[in-house]
Amino acid sequence: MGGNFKNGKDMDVQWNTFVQTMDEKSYREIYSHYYRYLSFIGFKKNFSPARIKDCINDLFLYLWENGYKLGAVRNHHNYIVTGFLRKLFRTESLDSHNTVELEEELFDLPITPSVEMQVIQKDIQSDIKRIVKRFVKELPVRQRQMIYQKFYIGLSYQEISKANNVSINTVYSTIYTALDKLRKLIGKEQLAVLSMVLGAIVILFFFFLKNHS
Amino acid sequence: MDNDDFSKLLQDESFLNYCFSRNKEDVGYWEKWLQENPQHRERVGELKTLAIMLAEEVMLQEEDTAFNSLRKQIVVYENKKAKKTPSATSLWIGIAASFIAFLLFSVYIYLKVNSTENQQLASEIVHGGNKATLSLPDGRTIKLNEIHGGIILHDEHIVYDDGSTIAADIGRSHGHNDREKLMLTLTTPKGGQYQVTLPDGTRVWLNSASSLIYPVSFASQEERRVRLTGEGYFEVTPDKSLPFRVETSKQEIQVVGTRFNVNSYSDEPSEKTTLIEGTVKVTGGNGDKLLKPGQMATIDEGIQVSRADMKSVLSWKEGKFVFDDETLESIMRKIARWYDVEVLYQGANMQEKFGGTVSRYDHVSKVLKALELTEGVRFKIEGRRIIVMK
Repeated sequence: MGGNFKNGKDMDVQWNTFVQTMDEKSYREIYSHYYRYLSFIGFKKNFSPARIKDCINDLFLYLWENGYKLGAVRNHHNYIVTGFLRKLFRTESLDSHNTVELEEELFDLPITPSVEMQVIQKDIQSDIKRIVKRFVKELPVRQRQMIYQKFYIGLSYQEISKANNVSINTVYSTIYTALDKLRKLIGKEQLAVLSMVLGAIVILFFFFLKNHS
Repeated sequence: MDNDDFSKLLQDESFLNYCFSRNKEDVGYWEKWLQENPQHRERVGELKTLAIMLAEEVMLQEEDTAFNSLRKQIVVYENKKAKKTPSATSLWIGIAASFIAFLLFSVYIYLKVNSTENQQLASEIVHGGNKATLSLPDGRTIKLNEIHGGIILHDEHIVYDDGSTIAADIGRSHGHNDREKLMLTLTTPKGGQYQVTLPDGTRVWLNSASSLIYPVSFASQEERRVRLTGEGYFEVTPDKSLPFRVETSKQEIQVVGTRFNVNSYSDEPSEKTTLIEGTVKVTGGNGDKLLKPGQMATIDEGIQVSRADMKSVLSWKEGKFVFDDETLESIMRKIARWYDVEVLYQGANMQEKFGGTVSRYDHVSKVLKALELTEGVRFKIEGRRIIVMK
């Protein structure tokens, strides 16, 4: 899957299958694909995570209830994005012109990590992946949401504090707590490679301090 | 070793911007720094890996949690739907309302049909629909209902999509053990299309002027084999122990569990098999090829693989004609099959190319008008015949 989410061409087959046969697998794939993109849009427009999730799920519930009627929809991508934006802004007056403008303002999502993975060594990859997976599964919701916003969506600390309606210090400390937990998990496994990384961080850290103060 | 610093770098906005290539300045800054300090390249690379992995995992988890919440809402909706049974009174009201609506509708249609603008459009040519016939092993031929669009074969009964019976116990009349050798044939005429579900759950959609020959049962066979003429779209149920094979006049396609489209009309210069999902092996021409999703095999004297234009290949199944830089000859053949018309050329250049999208359910004159707009061709309709002119 590439980084270009703008035209929804990737989901043509799934959309057609879903609309004609109400196939659950296709529906799930469409949801996965659009969850990222729509939440990205929602966050960039400064909405809260709860609101964004509700709008996405309301939209998809509507799609599920009315799937069999949607055969006439010519451009499913615009249909979904417009539907989402309408719910988000609580307005019926959003025409396709507005949607195009809104979409063009937004950057493409960064290329999904899987593509970059191929360049990286296999051994490190499987060990770290295992730890990261376990770490994420056990993360409390709040911390996970903020890590999602900082790392995947790419919001600034300022933007996260606004979207979640907390002080910026709360954001700093929540993210710090999560990363600290991750560091401990990795430390426990005593991966030789990462221990070296940790050693080198001292140098990087001081250099960073030196150039940013 | 200062463990504090590990967390600190991953919290740093500019470093994260570098990891995810978010803005030029930060990427530039860190790359320059790495150039000046190449001994740290590997370690920074590993930290970058970590950041990327973390981003992906957290996204998967967020999406999963959100979907589970949606799933609960869907279950509630489905339960509510199941509970809605009409009471006797509301049923009668419903019938009465429908009857009145039907009367009003008939009046409307009567007035519309008699309006002058409609007289011009009136023509015998009608677009295609759900037409097909089914031949049973005992020799009977059943003309399938046009209201339904698909049939299902299971346990030797054939039913329509909604469960209503077409024929039961088709193996019975032969009463011997090799029932598996008994075959059924689903045939669509020009202007027809139909869908069938095979005993293993595999679904096949047939386009116009096509046929599918398939066995009553796949039990105690070494393979699942069907024969296709014309065009069909397949969604094969995966079963590694029992390969699925499609035979056409020029090729044999071997399948494990996939979705693909086969175009094998005898009046087309070559047969084309396009893979959407899964894997197939196509044997034809003078060799065989393994296809990957998005690829198409073209079989005439030989066999060649190329990238497919998925939109135009699957357009028939979605009720559309999508012509992608196609010759007039090829376009007219598709129109002839769907509208069940004859085509005559009077001076038109058959190799001229056209592109565009039009609904299959539009009147044929609308489809032809769309082509005429390019000013490369003109049409005249005479009864069931279309004359193509320069």
